[in-house]
Amino acid sequence: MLRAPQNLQSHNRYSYALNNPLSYTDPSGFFNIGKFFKKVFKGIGSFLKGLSKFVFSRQGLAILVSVALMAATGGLASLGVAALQGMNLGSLALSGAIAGAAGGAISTGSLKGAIFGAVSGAIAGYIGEAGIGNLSGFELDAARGGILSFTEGAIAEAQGGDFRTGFFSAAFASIAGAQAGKLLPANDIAAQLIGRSVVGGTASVIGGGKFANGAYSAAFNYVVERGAVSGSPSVGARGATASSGSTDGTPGMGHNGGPPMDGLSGIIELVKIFTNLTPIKAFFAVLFTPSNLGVDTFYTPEGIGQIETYLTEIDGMSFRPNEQMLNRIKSGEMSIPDQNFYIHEIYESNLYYGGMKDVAVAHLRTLEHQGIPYNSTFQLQLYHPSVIRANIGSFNPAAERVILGLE
Amino acid sequence: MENISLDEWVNSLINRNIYWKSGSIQVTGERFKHLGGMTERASATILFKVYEKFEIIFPGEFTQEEVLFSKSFIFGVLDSLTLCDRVRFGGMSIIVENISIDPICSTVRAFRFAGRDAGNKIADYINKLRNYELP
Repeated sequence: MLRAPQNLQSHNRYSYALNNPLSYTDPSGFFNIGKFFKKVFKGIGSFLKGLSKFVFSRQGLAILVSVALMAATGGLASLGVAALQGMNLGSLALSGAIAGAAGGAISTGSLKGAIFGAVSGAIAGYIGEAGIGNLSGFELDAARGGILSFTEGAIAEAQGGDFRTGFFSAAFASIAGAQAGKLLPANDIAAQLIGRSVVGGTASVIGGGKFANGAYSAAFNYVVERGAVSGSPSVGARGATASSGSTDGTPGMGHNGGPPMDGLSGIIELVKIFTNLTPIKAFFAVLFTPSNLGVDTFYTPEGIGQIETYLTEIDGMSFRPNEQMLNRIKSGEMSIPDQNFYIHEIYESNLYYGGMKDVAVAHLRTLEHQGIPYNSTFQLQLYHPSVIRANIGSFNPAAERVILGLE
Repeated sequence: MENISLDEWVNSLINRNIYWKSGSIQVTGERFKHLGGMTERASATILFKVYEKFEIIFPGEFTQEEVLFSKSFIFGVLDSLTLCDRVRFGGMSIIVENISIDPICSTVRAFRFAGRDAGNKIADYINKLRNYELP
């Protein structure tokens, strides 16, 4: 058996390591170790060389800054959901500014682009929440399109292009893209892909670019959007939505008549998707969330009202620990049992009002949904220790012993 | 009852005349109630009889937890019988025959409610008795 037929030295059965013992070793007789590692190290060297060249280039630095800003944006984007219920508009403008700066830096690779993006993102974030909060349907799409168009126009200007081309290209992409996305069957991937590609390509032509670039960009955006976990990127951070252009089926920023979408753009898109993944957003939400933010966001007056109605209906609110837990929630306590209790009662009451009148079954189904093991100490997950301590005798003795430090 | 003093009421609780001179009744008290964050579940069977003094008997083989819940159950029985003026506390015997404990849903409070259920059943039985039916 010849291990390397193309090498004539391999045909000599009596030679060792291709007759080159100074370069190679061959302990098994089947494999030249020196050659193997030479290839491995050569590959690693090429990779590092390319990486360092990219990182220290102007564009590479812009990307690194953008990734950092995108990470922060991901956190703010998750807070954006909360913002709809309580955050002030200044925070939205800040969120928009950061997102805009990130988008601008990615798009232009310059400080100028980042500043343009920040200003337009801040305006978009502010206007987005203040102005279109009550809109819906086509009016909402049109308003979003207007905001996106303004941002894209500003970015195009920063890129050295024409404001009007960027504006009209983005306007068409946003409004037509949103309508196409709605008119086409949501689950028909092929139809959505073709429809959005046509819109993206047309928008690209309007912006002075190639149809194929815009179509490819829109199709790529659609594919990665479908792959995203949470589905609705940056609800509250309208600035991020406007400048990234990855929602509503609109082509991504910088591709409307801009440079063709290459591997780099793909990486940027993936970074954006990554920062929108639920665990990542949750991480940054924890990082950025003030301790009392949950009072306005996690609990809602409607939710508390629903729990109160439900508990009154099933027991007349006679169980004092329930009343005490509800009072804790009303005062904004956010410990794990407080949150668990709130979620539990909301979910269980939804099952009850949805037709599951056997509340004990609804209770078990809810625990299962919450991932709380049904055992002798499960009540520790739903009732705060202070509530259990104040009502000894009302809980499973095993749980009470834990609270009293007897176990 | 409102016309007597509290001292007289306490005294009557122990010494009041009763119509039911002898006999016994076996009752089961139950509690099964969902309360939102948890469910209460408890059940016990007792033998209630007229006796010469106040007496409570737990089976000797009861565990510590069974005794704890049984006591709570008995307090529940007495809660209800306090309002039944045909029962004299100084002349009754309660024997706990059986107790059913749910490892997750049973609580001291649940057994108190189960005991009240049993006490109400005893009171209903006694209140339905007519004088000529008394043993």
